[in-house]
Parts: sequence; structure tokens; C-alpha cells
Amino acid sequence: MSLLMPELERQLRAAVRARRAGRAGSTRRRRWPIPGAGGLVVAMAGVSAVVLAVLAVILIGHAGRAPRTARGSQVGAVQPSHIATCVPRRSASATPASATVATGSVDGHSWSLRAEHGGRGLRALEDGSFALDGRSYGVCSTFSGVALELIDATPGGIVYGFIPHPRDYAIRLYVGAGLAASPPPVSRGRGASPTAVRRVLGGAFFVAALPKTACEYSGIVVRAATKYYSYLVFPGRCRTARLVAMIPRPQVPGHANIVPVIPRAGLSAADQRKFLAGRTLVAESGCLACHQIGAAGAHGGPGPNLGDVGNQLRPSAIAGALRHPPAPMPSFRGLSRQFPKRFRALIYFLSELRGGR
Amino acid sequence: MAATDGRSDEALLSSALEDEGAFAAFYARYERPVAAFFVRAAGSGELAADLTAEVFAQALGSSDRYNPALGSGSAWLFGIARNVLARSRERGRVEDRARKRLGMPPLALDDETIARIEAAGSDQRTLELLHELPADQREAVTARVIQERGYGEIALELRCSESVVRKRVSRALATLRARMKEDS
Repeated sequence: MSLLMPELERQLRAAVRARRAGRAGSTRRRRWPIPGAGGLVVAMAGVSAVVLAVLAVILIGHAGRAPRTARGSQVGAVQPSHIATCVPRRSASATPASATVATGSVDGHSWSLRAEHGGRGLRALEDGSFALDGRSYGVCSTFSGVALELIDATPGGIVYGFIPHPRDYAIRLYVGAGLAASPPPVSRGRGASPTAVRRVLGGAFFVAALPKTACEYSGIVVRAATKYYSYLVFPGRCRTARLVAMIPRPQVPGHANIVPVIPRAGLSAADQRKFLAGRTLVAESGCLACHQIGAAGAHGGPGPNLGDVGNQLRPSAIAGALRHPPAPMPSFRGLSRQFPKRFRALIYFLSELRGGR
Repeated sequence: MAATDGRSDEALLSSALEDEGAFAAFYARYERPVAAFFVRAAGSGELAADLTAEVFAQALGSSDRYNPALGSGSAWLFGIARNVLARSRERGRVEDRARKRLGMPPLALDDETIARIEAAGSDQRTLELLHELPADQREAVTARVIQERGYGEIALELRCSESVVRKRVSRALATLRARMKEDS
């Protein structure tokens, strides 16, 4: 029976040869000139190393902590200046409500990320905004948000990704020496399609269809397990990099952050406020990246059309679907617990969608 | 041809670091089952290829630590496979430490290879039948037959006795056999 991956067999053979050569080299070890003194010297060197390490830790501790990255670690070859700093949510008193957390330039354009409410890790920028050449692209959320995460990118150094709809969002990944050194973007390719959405590795994941010829990845996996971040994996292909920014494209009709629905006539002022709050939530959550409401949103996207959901489901059923959605839709259970009023507004807005608007 | 090597797994592994043909034969023997295992677990030929490569890289790296007294070569290999899968799931990305350590470059996969790998792991009807089994039987038979794990280990994981696991596997296999007979 022929091998599935002859290349892997060749690699393994080469690895055995290399290991054997390495072993042969390692046997030519120099002997310590004084019999019995080798162990003592090694032990003394070990003790010295431990003492030096303890001293170094104490000195570094006094010098103050190094700035934390979004994941709390410096990984990969990305320059620290391009990595947003974490702003712990709990130390709100010491944290400004709004702060620029990262800046940079790419292809002659300057960009900045601004965290609106602080937060921790990936959530630090969940409520942030992105500006390109001084122009703000508004509040970032769910899929249009700015995410910082470890990823693997191609050796070429840059990949454009699109989640979940290529028309709406472009992700720029920067690796290596920095943003300015990034080569030109690859072509957009065919983009993601509903059929490309599938489950991988036991969680809720999107698999976006990127052009293979452009970046030679072995599969891009975008995790949408929570509404707060996205996670890219290029399995086994490439070196470590960091997703710096997810850039929302300019707002145009049909964009996932515009929900072109108005309250029906006859609603009380309180209900109107609830309706608008729910609409804002739908916009901020990027629901239209997968769903359709009226003419807006994803036509034929992975999520069902919500234009008539108010007729199809009772509010309690809508709440249930939001709390326990089918994959890969993110759950709103956290919202229902932390912000029940906003969650109720969301249900109210959705239950008001009854076709025709 | 490596695949026709008549030596036992234990013999192949014990000489893996001296004889590149021995490890190649071990690879040829288990490439398909391991890739199929990952296709079923990960649902993607590309992921399966990378996970398989990592498993064999780890196996090569630790072949000198393999102890035949503790289990067969295939059980040892699938133990590595399970660990690689678990760690990849935990980290959300495919493990590649062993490959990096051995200086193995990323695999260049074409569509045809990916399709072949996916085909190796997608005996659709068997999978369907497997999913029709009661959950306890499905877990037991998957762990025992597909993952080739020991009854004791499975019993510990499922928190029941070994005899219960044996019973479940036996019932599951009987059901599968009967349904396959009906199909044919």
C-alpha cells in the first residue's frame, strides 16, 4: 500500500540520519584533565548559576515589571512596540476610561488602537476603536473588534484573513521585524463562504477559505468560541506571530455594524429606547456578519435570516437561543448575567423583527 | 520497501535511531491508522497531516525510551497521538515542538494528498453506525478499538470496572456486526 505522505517519510529518514550524526559527534566529548574533579566543578558552576539567577530576579523585581502583552508573554518575533498593553479591568481607578494602547504604521498609513473601557487580555480591546490615518472606524466589537492573539503566519510574513465574511473585515497579520517591513498584501482570493464554516478540534471554529496559492497555509482556523475574540491557527506551517489588528472596512450599507431597522410607530418612549439599545447591541455584536435582517447583513450567511424572527419565535425562545446558541454562534449568556437590562433590550429588539421592515 | 518489513514493532523501534529504514518501516506501518485517527478527531486532512507528522517526530525523538514491557508499539504510538491531540486542543493549535526540535520543515501538502488522507479516515458508514450506538458503548468501543487503549485505562477514565468496559465493547461490536450484516 502506498504511503499517504511520502514527504513525511523522507523527513523522518533525514531526521534519523541527522540524529545519528549528532550522536556520533557527541561521543567525542573532551575529558576533564583531573580525574574526579569534573563533577565538583560542574556542581560549583551550578550553585553559582543559581545564586546569579536569584540575584537577577531580585534586581529585575526592583527595577519594576516589564509591560505585559495581551497574553502576558512576549512570544515570537513581533516588536514589543507593536503589541498592545493589557489594561486590567479591576484596577479601574488607576486606568483611564479610554486610552491609546497601540500605534503603528503600515504601507505608509498610521494606525492606532484605543481601548474604551480597559479589560483584560483579549477583552482589553474588545470595547476599543481602531483609527487609520486619523479616521476612526468606530467601536470595535465581536468580529469587527481588534483582537490580539498568538497565531502562526506564513514565512512570507503577512496574510490577509477575512472573518467571517470577506466583504466586511480584513485582518492584517504582521510578523517579523515589524509593520513597516511587511510585504504587500496577498490577494483576497475567494474568501469565506458558508460551506467553509465547520467544526474542527472539538470546538466552535470557523474555517475561512483563504487563497492557498497566496500564502501556502495548511488551513486557517478561526475560533469563535466566545464573542470576545477570534483566534487564528495555521497548523504546523509557520512561525509564531501576532494578530495585531482587525480592521473594519468603512461603514457602507450592508455592513455588519449597521442595522437598518427603525422602531415601529406607536411604541412608547421606553420601548423605543429598549428597541434602540437592542439594535445597537446587534450592531456592535456584528450579528449581521452571519445573519440577515431585511436587505442588510449576510445574504445566505451561516446564520438564519432574522428579519422575521419575531413572528417565528417567542421572546423566551429567542432568549434561549441567545443563551445556548448552536455553534459557531457566540453565546450571550455572559451578557444575560452581567447586563440583564441590555440582554432584555436585545430580546425586545429581536422580537420586534417581524418582516417588512 | 519499508512497509513490507517483517520485523516486530519492538524490533523496529529499538533500532530506529541506528537504522533509518527501521523507523521508516514503523512509519509506513502506522501512518494510515494514525492519520485516520486524526481525521476522525479533527475533521480535517490538513490538520491530520500535521498532527501525524508531530506524532511520528515525537515517536522518533523518544524511541530510545520505549519500553516493550509496558505495552505494544502501537499502543505506545497511539498514546503519543492522544497526547498530541489533547495538547493541540488545549493550546488551540497544532503541536510542532518535536518537529522543530528535529529540524523538520512544514509539510507541503497538495490537494490530492489531503484528499487521500481524508479518505483514509472517513469510513462514513462505520462512523454513522458508531454514532448510532448508545453513548457508553460508543465511548468504550472508540477507546478500545480505534484508539487501542487498554481496558484498565478506559475503566479508570469511564469510572467503572474493567469487566463493564469489556461488556460494553463486546455489545457494541456485536451491534455493529449485526448492522453491517443487515446493510450487506
